[in-house]
Amino acid sequence: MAIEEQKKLNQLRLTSLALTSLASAVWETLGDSSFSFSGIMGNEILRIMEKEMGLEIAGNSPKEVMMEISRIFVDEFGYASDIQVDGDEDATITLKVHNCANRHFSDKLLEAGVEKPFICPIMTSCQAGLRRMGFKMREEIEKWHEGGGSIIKFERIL
Amino acid sequence: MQGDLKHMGVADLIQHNCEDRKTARIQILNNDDQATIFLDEGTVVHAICGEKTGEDAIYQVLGWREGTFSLDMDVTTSEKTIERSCNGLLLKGAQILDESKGTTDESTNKKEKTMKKGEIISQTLQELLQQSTDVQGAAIVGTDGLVYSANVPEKGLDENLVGAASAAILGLSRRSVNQLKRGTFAQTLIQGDDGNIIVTGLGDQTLFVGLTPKEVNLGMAFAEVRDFASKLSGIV
Repeated sequence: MAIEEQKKLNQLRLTSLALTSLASAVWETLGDSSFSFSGIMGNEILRIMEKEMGLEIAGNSPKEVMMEISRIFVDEFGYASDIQVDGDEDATITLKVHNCANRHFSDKLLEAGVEKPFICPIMTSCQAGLRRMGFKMREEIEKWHEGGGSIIKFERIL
Repeated sequence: MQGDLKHMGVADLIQHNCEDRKTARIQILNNDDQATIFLDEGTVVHAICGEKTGEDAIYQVLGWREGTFSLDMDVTTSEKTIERSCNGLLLKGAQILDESKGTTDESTNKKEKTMKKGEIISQTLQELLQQSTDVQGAAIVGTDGLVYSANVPEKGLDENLVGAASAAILGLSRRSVNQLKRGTFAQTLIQGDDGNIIVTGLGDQTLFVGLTPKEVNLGMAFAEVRDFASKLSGIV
């Protein structure tokens, strides 16, 4: 029988496997339209951030909200070493995620055929925040080798 | 009716008469140049400017800032050289003008352009629905579930869920057509007790959702949705 430490690791492996399989199946079925679920996932993350971590969306500019979401991911979740937010809501907002803690999971998704990590929590929560503020922006996410993370870009389309 | 372009620009002149669904001939004089535009019940159908005809003539005239115009009501033409919608023409014209002028303040221009685009999409959707006999409501949605514009009779809908479901329907339909080797995806029909939903693509990144009542001629509804999609794809 495995020791408790090993059991916890196995549990994490199972959870990771379940999530990878699910994401892979969704991507296989829907392709780029898989991003349509990102907003729903992002809303759930935002709800926790607002309830437990002091995030306030109303009354702030999109860039301020992106910076605050980024701070929570770095300081509260330890999800990245730094997230650099550039640009403005009039055209493009870019987030550079340094040393993403989940980059190995993203690599597994890629191996499983998921070309774009549509379940990235940083991207989905920022996307949900922008939509809630009424900003119609399209998201793009790409791997960032040099920074050990990803570059997430929101471009205003309307 | 006569006027000066200093008081009413060419774009406003065209838009105003399209909105009022006028049938008319507009003649515009700019120094030695002359242009003639024909409207048929609010649709721009033909234009001539020097050697240019059709859309090219419209884009030429949209750049005129000085001159005079006259409007003759109920003058028609048998020529039809323009297919694009009024708003589509004006948006395309504005883009051409921007490109020819160069951008002095890129950020400001982009903001104005995107805001104007949003308004034009909403307005065009509303106009199309007003003219429609079979489509009761419609939405334009990104493949990522972002709702660009929606005009539906039902109240209290969760926009995010409607957008996500619509995008998922399109994604699933495209995959199914591809996997089952049915050629190129055209449209999806969903039938309910109280009406139908028709989903079709508007290019790679957007889709059109049309709602029809239960009692409808589906052939006519499909044709109307295709017509909507054709007009909107030029704007979106």
